[in-house]
Amino acid sequence: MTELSIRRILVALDASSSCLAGLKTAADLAARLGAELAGLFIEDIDLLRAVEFPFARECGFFTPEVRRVNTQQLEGQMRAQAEQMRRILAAAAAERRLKWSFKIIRGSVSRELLSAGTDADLIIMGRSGRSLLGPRRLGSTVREIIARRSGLTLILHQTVARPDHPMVVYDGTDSARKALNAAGAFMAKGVRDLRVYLLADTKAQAQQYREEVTETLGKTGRKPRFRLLISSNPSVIAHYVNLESTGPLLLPGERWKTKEDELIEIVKAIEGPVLVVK
Amino acid sequence: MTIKPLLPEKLYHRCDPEKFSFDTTDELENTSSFIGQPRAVEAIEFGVDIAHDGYNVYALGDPGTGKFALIRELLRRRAADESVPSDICYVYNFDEAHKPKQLHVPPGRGKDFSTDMEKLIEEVRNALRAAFESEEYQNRQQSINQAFQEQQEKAFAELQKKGEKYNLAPLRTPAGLVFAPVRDGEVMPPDEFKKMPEEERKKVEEKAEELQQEAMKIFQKIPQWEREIREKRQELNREITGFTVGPVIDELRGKYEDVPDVKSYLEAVEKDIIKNVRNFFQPEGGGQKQEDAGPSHASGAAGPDGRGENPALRRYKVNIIVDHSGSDGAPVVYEQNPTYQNLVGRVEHMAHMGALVTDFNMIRPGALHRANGGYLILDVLKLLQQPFAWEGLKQVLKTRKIRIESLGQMFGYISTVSLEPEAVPLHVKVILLGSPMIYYLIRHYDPEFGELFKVTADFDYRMDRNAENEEAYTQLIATMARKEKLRPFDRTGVARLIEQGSRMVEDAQKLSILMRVMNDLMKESDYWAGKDGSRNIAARHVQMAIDKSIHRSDRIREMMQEQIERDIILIDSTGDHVGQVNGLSVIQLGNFAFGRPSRITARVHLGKGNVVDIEREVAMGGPIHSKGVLILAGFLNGRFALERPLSLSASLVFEQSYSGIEGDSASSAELYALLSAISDVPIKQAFAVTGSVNQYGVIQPIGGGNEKIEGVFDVCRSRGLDGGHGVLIPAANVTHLMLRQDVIDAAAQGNFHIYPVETIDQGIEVLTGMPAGAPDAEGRYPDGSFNGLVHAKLAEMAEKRIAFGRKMQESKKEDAS
Repeated sequence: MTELSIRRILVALDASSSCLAGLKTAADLAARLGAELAGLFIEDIDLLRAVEFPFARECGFFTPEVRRVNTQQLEGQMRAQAEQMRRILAAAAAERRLKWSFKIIRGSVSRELLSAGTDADLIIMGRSGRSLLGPRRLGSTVREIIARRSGLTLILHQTVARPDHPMVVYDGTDSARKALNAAGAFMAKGVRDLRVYLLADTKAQAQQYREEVTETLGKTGRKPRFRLLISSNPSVIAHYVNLESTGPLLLPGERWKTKEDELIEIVKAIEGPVLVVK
Repeated sequence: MTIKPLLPEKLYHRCDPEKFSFDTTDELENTSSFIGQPRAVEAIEFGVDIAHDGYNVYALGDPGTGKFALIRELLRRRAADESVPSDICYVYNFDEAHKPKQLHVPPGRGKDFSTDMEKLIEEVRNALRAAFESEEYQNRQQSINQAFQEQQEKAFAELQKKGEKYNLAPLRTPAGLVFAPVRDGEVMPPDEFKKMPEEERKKVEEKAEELQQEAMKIFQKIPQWEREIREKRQELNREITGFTVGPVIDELRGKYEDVPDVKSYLEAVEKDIIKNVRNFFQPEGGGQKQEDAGPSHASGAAGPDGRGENPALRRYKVNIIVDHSGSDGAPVVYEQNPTYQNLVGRVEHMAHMGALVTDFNMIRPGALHRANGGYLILDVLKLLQQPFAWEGLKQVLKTRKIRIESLGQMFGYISTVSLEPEAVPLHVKVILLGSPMIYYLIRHYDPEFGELFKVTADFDYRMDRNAENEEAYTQLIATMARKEKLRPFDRTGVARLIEQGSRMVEDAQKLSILMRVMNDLMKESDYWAGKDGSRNIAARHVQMAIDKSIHRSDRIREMMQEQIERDIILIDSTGDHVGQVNGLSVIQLGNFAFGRPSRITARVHLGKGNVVDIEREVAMGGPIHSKGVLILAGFLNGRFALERPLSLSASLVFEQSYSGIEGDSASSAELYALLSAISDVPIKQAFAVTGSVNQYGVIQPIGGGNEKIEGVFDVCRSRGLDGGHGVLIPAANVTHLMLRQDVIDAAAQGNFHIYPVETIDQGIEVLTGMPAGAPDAEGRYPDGSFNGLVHAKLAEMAEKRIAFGRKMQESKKEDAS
């Protein structure tokens, strides 16, 4: 088994509190793996368009009335946010002596993130971004990335600060094997036990998966602790995973290649961080 | 000659060792009675007994009178039977943090209470931690948070849903929210919007505006929702805290049910814990936070002065400033260093982040706190030497409250916020120790003194030397020797100490009760006994201690003796001289005094009857000396100028005097010299004279008689005693004689004579060897008598003066014609 190499971590920065948590996780991970930390701030083209409408008014949290907002003002606000993100990223990187970069791109958030993510081994992003609908829902960008990205995407939940006790869902697919290989990167120092959920249709298959996992992990000295999942139903998977208060859950995406909604449902139902492996 | 020299037994009041029934002082019991100070003891007992304001005591007496030892012992005995006062603690004032509250706890229970409070806080912390970590609490808090989140999410979801109906989507801007028309999940390009029919555009705009207004309403509700959620969290915290803390505090409440101060304090503690439960979850060194948010976990190991301690929990500590756990009675406190702060206490500060900070835990007690409920002894000289200490003490005694204020606060120089600890009610008797001089000065200059120190305990420095007191003295010597771990005194040693006690006060009928000096003599005697290899201290050891002590101090005396022997200081001790007499003076050098003879001479000439005191003329004579000389003129006029005025002028001088002269003890000597000069009758230089004289020629007693006699004796002895040497002393001074053994021996052998003189005439007879002569009924003195010669000489001078006057008048007339 060759452990997956993560050389470049891309963190999506949108000035939300969840993205700040993501930045910290990304910086810690990059420091542990010796990876480069790349920050990306996307100036949302939809937002810039929105203020061009003649009727566009901004409703503020702390203003008594709606106010007219134009493109220049919005650009100014975005620049300020980007600068703030750059400073935080620089400080986090300097603290850990990381190689880092920061980029501002204007465009559609999910498209640009997918595009920028092609150069990255791992994308880290917050679960809900700046959505008003709260952290329990998945933001539209996250949904888009889960559905369309190939590679590793770590979706962080606000409640778990340190995703360093990974769990793997193993279903015999290539992405499951990839997940198994990637798990080492997320394990805290000194931890040997790895929780593996075997997603098998039959007992024999389960046994086969068990042997595969044991063989693969045996080379790394890690010790699998198996749990059998009898259904790939999102709520069932989420139920068992939520019983553990650790994370992230490494979820092989291949199984849900044509059923992205189901995959999104699983990510949404899980209360901890999820690493979608494709 | 009518005056006889004193017999040797009159020169010394011996203490017969044989009258003692013991061999050494080891056989004697310790004494616990106070000797020689009945007046002072009575005054102190009165002062401490009377329960009214201002009846504090000023004990005045010379240093070494044993004031402190006596007062401390007296107070200790008294205090032992009195009740132990309460322990005093300072605690946090939950209503006004800068005004710490005092708690009075039954004696000895302050420490327990402090420990109990520490345990209580530890238990509360553990209990709270368990409570706030419990699943129940977490679930309830979660459900509160969730309710808020759901409320918010629901509102926005509805708004989003409504927008979807009109293809309007809410988009987050950095500062808020905007609505934009969407198509296929993306914002419609504005150009396309413009191409839309106007009616449709208008509809979208209307809907967008409607949604904006709705969004605003939601935004406006959010602070209220947050407030509600905060209140719910607080309510939950209060409920959990109250439920957790109540039983823990109840236990303590039961234990201190009989202490009202503590009971009410515990009520306040409970309320405060409930209100500020977050303090128990703060990190070390963290500041105090508000109660609104739920508690978060943190360690809270305690340590003093805020280092390594959760500072927010310091407020529950108990600062015991007076702890009577080891006391058996009322406190008796002697403050050695009575600074202002050492008296009234102080608030200490600690440097923290470049600023000085403090809290009630840093309140420190003063001597007044420690003595409260008992007695405080202070040395008045030390007290007056400390800036503001006297004012501070008076303030406390006047207000009957111990208020801890810095000097800056007291005088209004500093107005920054500091602690103002609650004033402690004062119940203390203050006993000041000091010299009479300070007493009279304060009494004169400070009108408040009399109001605050109404009782004066006047310590005597001597007592009568009678059999009863000698026995008490003996017992005291035995007690002191044992206390100081000295060798025992045998009966000769004790007798010698008693004799020295008389010598110290220059009175054979009295005994010194300057026990400090006596104590030193005993220690030195013990030293010499040790050198002698003796197990007991005998008279010779005491004598050795006295002699050595004198020897260590008498360099100047020896130098003067030597100068007399070498005739640098001119003193005749043989032969006769007209108008010249040996006077005697005493030189005091610290605690050592010695006598020395001084030559006094007188010259007379025609004049107007005035006596010129040369010392006074050159301002080297003190007022008492000058008074003595003026008295001489009074004597001469009274005795010899009843019929005609004195027609002489005289000058008197202390020869070879290079420093000031004070006192009138030489006035009789001056009169002898003057009379000799007038009568032309020589005075025997083998004699020296001391004693003052009044206008009637009566010799009056003087001080330092022993030293004076010994001084002249030393001079005479060094020149060789021939049986003619002697001293004239006032007869009233005989009772003061406690002379050196060698002087007594010389007197016994007839080599040296001490004449007790009552009048000038008696002295004249000794000094000139001729009768003084008494006046007859007409006031005439017999021819051939000394006074007759004086009278005749004065008459002659008067005649001469009249003749001279006539001659002068005639020459004036001649000049005029």
